[in-house]
Amino acid sequence: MENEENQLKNEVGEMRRRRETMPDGRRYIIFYTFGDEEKTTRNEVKENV
Amino acid sequence: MSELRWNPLLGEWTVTATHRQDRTFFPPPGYCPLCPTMPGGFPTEIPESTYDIVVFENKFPSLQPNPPAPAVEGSELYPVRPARGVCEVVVYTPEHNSSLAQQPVSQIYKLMQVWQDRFRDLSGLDFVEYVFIFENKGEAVGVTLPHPHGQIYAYPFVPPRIARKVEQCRDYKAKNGRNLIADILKDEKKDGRRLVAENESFTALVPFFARYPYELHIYPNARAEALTDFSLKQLEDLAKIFKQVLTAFDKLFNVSFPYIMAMNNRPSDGADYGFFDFHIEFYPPMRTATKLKFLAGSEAGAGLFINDTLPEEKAAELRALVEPII
Repeated sequence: MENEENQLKNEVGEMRRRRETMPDGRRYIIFYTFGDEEKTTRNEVKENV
Repeated sequence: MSELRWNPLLGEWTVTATHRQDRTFFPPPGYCPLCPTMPGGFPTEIPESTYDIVVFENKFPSLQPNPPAPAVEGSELYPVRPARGVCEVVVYTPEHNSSLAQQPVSQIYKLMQVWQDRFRDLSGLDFVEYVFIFENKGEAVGVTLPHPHGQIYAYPFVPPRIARKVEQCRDYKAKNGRNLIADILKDEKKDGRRLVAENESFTALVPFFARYPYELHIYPNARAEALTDFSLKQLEDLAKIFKQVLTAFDKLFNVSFPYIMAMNNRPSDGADYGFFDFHIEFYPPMRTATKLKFLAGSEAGAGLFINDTLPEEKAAELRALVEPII
């Protein structure tokens, strides 16, 4: 049960957030990442139109 | 210019936000503001070459933390307030031509955690009384940026549809001693005809009183008032049932199915909402592969929805398309 409960938690890792001010100087932006500091899980961009 | 204007006929606020007339409208290829900023490329809203999940303040907000003074003076008949609040954009994939349905369960699970974090943060603002997490998907529901994304509005009051539900739940509890939404779920599980998908923590169904042919609700199997009440295991189950129902939607007519997703948490005004249960509602506008459900005379003018279909039949259609999560 414990393993089942932690299935995605272990795969995805801990959530971390980095809050910054946007280039317009007035709005905020928050980057959410998951996993170890060195091995942040990120999507690869397959295309950009 | 933006402000809240009171409608004394309906007893509710309307937001005016004239700057939104200039918001980005179907940008040409290469100029999507929600794509990553590529080296040497068009600077989008997100100044990184890739990202996992990003949340930022809407460039064209209906509500702002520091709103301008109202453009008109209020009166006893027509009260006016600054349009104070927060409008956030939630971008959950850097892939322009994707959708929430196409995300792996692990990415939807990440999004659940981000939504939980945003609900907690925005609920803590002293001027916020309701945090509304939603997604508009598809041109059929008015989307102007096709890049997959959701939104969050933090309102300075409880909006009318939510307020009406809260009152219904409060009255039901006072009369019956039980929670209305828990009783709806219990009744639906006993009947079974309108169930679409289930797991340990959540149940998806077409409600008895569906207003849209493929309207779908997700209810928690255990008591919860807000997203922040759920454990990571429950968020995982919520991600799994999202994946199942969104995939079933897409398979219905073999199209990327448009919908409005509305998450109903308890209000964030600090009052006791023990009579209210968290739930999620999807309002898809498609009624057949080629026809849309429009809000016409009865719906828009009288507030009475006419559903041309039977919820029992539509639930059966969706249920047949639900696949197990492996």
